[in-house]
Amino acid sequence: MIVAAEREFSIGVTPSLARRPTASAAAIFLILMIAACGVGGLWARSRFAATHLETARTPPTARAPFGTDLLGRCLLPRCLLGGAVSLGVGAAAAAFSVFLGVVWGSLAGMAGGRLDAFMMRIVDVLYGLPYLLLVILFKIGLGGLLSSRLGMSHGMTDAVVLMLAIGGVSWLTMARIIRTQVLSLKARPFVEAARAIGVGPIGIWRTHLLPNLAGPIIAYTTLTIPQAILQESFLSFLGIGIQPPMPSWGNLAAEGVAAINSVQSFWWLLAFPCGMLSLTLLALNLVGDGMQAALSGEDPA
Amino acid sequence: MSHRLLSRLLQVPIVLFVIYTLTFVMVVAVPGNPFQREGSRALPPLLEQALRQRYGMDDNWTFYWRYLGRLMHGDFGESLQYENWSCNEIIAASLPVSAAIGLTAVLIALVVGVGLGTLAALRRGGLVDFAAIGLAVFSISVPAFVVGAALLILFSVVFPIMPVGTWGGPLDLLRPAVTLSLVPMAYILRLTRLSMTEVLDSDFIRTARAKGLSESAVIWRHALRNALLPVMSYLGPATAAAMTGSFVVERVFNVPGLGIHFVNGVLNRDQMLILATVLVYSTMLVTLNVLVDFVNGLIDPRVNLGAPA
Repeated sequence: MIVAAEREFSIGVTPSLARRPTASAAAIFLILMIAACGVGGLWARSRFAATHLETARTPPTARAPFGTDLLGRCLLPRCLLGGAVSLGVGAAAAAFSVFLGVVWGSLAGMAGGRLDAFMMRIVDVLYGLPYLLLVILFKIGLGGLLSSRLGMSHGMTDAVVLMLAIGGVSWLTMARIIRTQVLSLKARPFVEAARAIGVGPIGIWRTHLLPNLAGPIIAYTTLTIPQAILQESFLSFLGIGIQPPMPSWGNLAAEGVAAINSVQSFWWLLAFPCGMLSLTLLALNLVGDGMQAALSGEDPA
Repeated sequence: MSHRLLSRLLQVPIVLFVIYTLTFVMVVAVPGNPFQREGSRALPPLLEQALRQRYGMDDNWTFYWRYLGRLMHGDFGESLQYENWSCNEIIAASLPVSAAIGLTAVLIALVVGVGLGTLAALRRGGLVDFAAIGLAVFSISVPAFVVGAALLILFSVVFPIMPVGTWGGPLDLLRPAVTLSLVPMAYILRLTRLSMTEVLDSDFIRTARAKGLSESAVIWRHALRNALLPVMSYLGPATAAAMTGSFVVERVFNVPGLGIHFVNGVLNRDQMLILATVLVYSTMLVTLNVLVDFVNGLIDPRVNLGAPA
């Protein structure tokens, strides 16, 4: 029965995603963007901070395809490395949030009764808190606690703390979804049968629940990743996230916005980081929507 | 019903107390000293001691209880960065600004979202539907600071009809509100479209049509009224989010709202200002959530107030 469910899942998603042209195009774009930022980020590591004040604020040219910023730093390596940072932090934060959500939801669902009610009450209370406020407080609080203990470079500590802060606040919806799924799966005969032959709770969870949870986990994860990237960019935009000189799409955009004035617009400072960020988020959301529709068995529109 | 509401209301101060404690821990954990500018010379220890006593911050424990006591009297303390400003004055000056932007944004989101969502459901699979879904995905994907920057450049640089960063006239409210409205608009649009589609396929709509009601009566009196229930329950969190989530928008448009003060408080280690803004935001949010649950219970008796979701 479980084998059947798994096979149904794996043969179900891929072809129906391929039958959705927008989602497939978005997926291809995403792969290209990730590859560009990954490879380009490695290439940019030694170049992103080189300042040439004599060529500051030049619009895009053949030498500097994305133009240069206020300090004459070439924007192309900065955008690529910034993308690697943003994507990396976003993906890690989403993974952390999914992990927390799955563990919390599974525990609550498997435990049932009082413990379940108590755990979900905590989720309810956390749900009612100002979200972005909490991420920011977490970021500054954790940053203070961890910065001296981790023994890492500043940029790395920022990234780790951001990942923990975003992930640590955004797992609530996942926990609710997983708990509901676990509760309904727990009542199914194959779980009862497993319990009757003496399989322990961990075994039941791993072999009987997890394969059936894979669908909702994947579907919701694809929508968590763009949210996490968005939050990283918000925080960096506000000056609370990734700190200069390390670039991220958010703080690059903040530099671009700060340079807007009514006399002269340094449009390339805004257009490239904002464009890359927006297109990536758009593609992620399109893939997420397509994935969800494919999993819920909707006909491709 | 009423005693459930009462118990939810009684939970509000407990939740706020937990938030206060959590925020306090975070604020105190931040390295850096609010009495010392970065890069400047350290204060003589005696002077710092005197300053700390002046603000009731001798040590963390005293600070925690004394500030809690001041809060009980409706006193949010002093800002450590803005000389001669009490947090109460800062909040009184900036909260109306944030509230005005937030409420305008929710209004725009509601009108546009319900309108487009209904149109999309009526012309399912058509061009309007396609455009509406596209707009929703766009609005959720593109960050607020990108939309804000685009609006800034469009109306201040390309067509210089508005200054880049002023605050005063009602027109200055418009761009931040539109920017802030996009995300709730997208959710309302999707919710309306989804529930309208379901309602239009249901039996009572077929009956309404069969008894010869005009199409507008079917949509306005029967379909929309039922389709709006999920939108109603989203409206509470949306209002709360719009009123508390405007940091980025306020930064882009240089709006003197509460969010800016929170962010500056965080950047300046202005401990009392951080605590004050967090508590104002949380009080609004938590009260609003209880209120929304209550209203939902009134509209739709199936909503079970107080039970774990």
